[in-house]
Amino acid sequence: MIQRFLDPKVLAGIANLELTAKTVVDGFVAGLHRSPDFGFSQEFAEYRMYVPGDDLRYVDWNAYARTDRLYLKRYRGETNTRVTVLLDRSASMGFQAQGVKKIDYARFLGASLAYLAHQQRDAVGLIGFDDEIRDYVEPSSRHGQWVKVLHGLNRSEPGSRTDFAKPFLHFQQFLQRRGMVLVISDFYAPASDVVKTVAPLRQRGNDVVLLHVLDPEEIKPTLKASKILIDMETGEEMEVSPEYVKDVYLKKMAAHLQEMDSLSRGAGLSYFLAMTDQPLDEALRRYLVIRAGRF
Amino acid sequence: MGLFAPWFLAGFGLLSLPIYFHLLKRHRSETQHFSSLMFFEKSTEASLKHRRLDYLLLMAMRLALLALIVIAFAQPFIWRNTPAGGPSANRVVVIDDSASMGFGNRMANARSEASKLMGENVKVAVFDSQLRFVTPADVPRLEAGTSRSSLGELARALRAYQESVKAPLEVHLISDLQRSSMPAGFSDLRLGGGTRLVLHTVADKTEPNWTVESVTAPARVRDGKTVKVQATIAGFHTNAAARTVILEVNGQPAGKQTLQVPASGRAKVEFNGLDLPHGFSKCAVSLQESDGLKVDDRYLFAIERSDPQRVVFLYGERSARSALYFRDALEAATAGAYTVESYSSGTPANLERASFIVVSDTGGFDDGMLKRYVQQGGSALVVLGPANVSAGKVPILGTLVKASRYAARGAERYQTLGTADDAYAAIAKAGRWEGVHFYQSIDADPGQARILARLTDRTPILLEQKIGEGTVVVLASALDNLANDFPVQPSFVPFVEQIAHRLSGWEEASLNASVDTALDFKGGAGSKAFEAMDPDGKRALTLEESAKGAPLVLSRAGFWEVRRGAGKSQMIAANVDRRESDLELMPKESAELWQSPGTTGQQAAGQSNNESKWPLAAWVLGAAVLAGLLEALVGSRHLVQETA
Repeated sequence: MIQRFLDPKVLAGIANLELTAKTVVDGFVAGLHRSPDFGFSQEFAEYRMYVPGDDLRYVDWNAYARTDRLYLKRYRGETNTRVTVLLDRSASMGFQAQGVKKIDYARFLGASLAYLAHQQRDAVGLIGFDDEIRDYVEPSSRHGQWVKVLHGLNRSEPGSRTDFAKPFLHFQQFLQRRGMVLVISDFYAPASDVVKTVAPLRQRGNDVVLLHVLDPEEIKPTLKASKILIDMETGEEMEVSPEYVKDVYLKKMAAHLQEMDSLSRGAGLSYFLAMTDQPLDEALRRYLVIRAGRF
Repeated sequence: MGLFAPWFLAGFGLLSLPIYFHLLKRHRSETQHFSSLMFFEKSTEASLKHRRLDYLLLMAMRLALLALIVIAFAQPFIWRNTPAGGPSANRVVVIDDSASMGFGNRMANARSEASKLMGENVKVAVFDSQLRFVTPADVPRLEAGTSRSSLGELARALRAYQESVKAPLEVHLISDLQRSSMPAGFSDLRLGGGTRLVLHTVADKTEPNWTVESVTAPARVRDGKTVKVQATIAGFHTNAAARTVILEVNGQPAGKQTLQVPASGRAKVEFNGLDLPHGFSKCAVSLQESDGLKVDDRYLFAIERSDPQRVVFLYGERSARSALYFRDALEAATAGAYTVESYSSGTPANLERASFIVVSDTGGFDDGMLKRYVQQGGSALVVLGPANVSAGKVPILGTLVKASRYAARGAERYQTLGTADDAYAAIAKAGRWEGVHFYQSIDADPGQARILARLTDRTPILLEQKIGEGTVVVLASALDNLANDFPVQPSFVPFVEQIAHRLSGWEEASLNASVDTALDFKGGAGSKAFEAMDPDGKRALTLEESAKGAPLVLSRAGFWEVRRGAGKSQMIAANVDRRESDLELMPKESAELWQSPGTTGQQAAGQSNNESKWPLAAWVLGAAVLAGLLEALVGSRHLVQETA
């Protein structure tokens, strides 16, 4: 029943972004059949045998006393982390063919992730960008930070065209400390350019997650007759025939997605394709998996 | 370039249909905002432009197809130079066999000239008022006829022939080239393109000729003693001379007179009193001294001697006076040519051998009997009056009588004759009924009758209708001197006379006409076939032809007899058209102009002789078929793209 509220179409009917995020996260967590206080930071994860070279600080001496064997005690997290949501608010994110706009879906996603992180007492921040940095909420774990992030997300309306290179240069000054960087975008740029631009963040020790938000119509357009398509970012017009879409576009889009995935993996980035007709829990699950793997 | 049927060009309006469907109603691409055109290429547009070009090409093909069909219907042609005559030309020898060729030895010269022109693939034709092809073997037997020659008709026939054979023609015309044979306009002599004309004149100069130009004689008489025959003797290019004229009746000389005819002039001679037997007499006025052209020295005419015609007058009780008025007028006008028998309603009437009947203001006689009488060839004058208003229908015709109209009740005190057929003798020769006042008229439904006259209030006053073999004339106002004052007006007597002549067939009894005149004897609905006998006493028309009402063409001079129903017959005297009598030749300049192609006159008439109309309809249709195939090709390709 609660799962129904994770449907983007249903969420779109909820005007309050805070309520949306809470609905998503609480519903998602309830769906996991786990405690709502589920956390990561100091939670015991597992024992494993000591092997030479392991840090002796993590040896469980009590277990050694009892069993005369060296075990390492593993925790999922030892400290809070900084989660920065990079939200692409370029004009192309305003596309909507069915369901919700991509920017709305991205905002739900960003808000939900921020709420989830805030619940774990992680510092949460937001950077909105298109070809410039438009919004910046410095990551913090203080009380009320999540509300700031929500305000930032609420202000995020589709602006001009996307340019990854320019804003990502500025990210360097804001992302001094390591943490998680969640890039939510439709990535309408050559995959190599995207990865090349984003990869330095990873090299600086951040965990970078590329959340690729696309409308199903963008992946498989249903063009019954020739149409004049207008580029939402550049305003360029082009008449497109159904047969071109069928023969060429689908292949190009599939190749782009494939390239995004492979290049991201190659650069150590996490890549996840989120379609606007899919529930948000899948995106959250992927986040948690990545978050868990970070420690 | 020109068009045989340019009105078909109106079909170009159809071109608006493809334009409407292709350009105005065509599918227009919708616009849609899309995230990014990153994965679209300009080549996409190129293919669309290619399709659009296909679309325009398809429209162009359809436009071309329609335009070509329209043009094909308009039958275009081009003027094309064709060699006139030449070795490959079809040679046609045309021999004039009109009446004037009977002068001297013109016909013998023509036969001789024709035989010189004979050879392989030579067509031979004779012409007078029309062109007729004969075999070369017929040439030695050709004689001059009695028809009039028409060079205009010859030129028209040659044009048609040249268009049918679609080959150059070399026409050798052997004729006396009479000036009177020329058409009114020289342009009518225009020959088709590629026709070379060679004139062979068999008359070297204008010959003098005498003729009996016309004869005036009554068509029907009661007594030959009072007959007056007047003949006009004319001389063409003749010196003043005395000519002796003989009048013959049924082959017997009935009179002879000598008169002085001035040079190239006319003189009249009159014969009074003839000894005529009952029935038709074949008469002729002829010149005693024959000249070179004999066929016009004799003028035929016919006179019928008959007993007084019986007229049956049927009247109602209230119109006894109308019988009196009618009888008095008829006797005064025709001097006893008719006898009137009156029957009031309720008494048995004898219609046998009645020349015609008058039904005056009565419905008391058996209408079926009257109708049968008319259908079998009788004729009737129906005078409508109050009794017919009571009966509600017009006798014999059976049409409805609507009402009785009184002039005094309207704005006018009386009505007079309004519109009328002035060619109708009973109106024209009666002074258009001048001074006649109509106070009461009967408004009857004309039905299929021809309205000959209306009163000033548009009421039909005189109508005529053929029923079977007979004729019915309706006068929609009584002759009792109450409904109108017609019976006491001077125009009444000639009206009664002309009506009587028309209904009794007096004026048709005998007729003089020129050779080649076509006469139409078709009667009204249900009329029977007539029988026509030629001068030799043989049937001129088959039964089928006469039943279908084919016209009788007086193909030669002589007495023709037509027998119709109810024992009626008619004698027609056909004479040679007297224009043949003037043997003046065509001016040399005209003859040269006619046979010389490309001269000023020819150009004024249209195109030069060397140019012919070359029809292009077949080529245009071929192009239309090609356009249709291309349209199907482009259309199917476009359809495949659409469905893809």
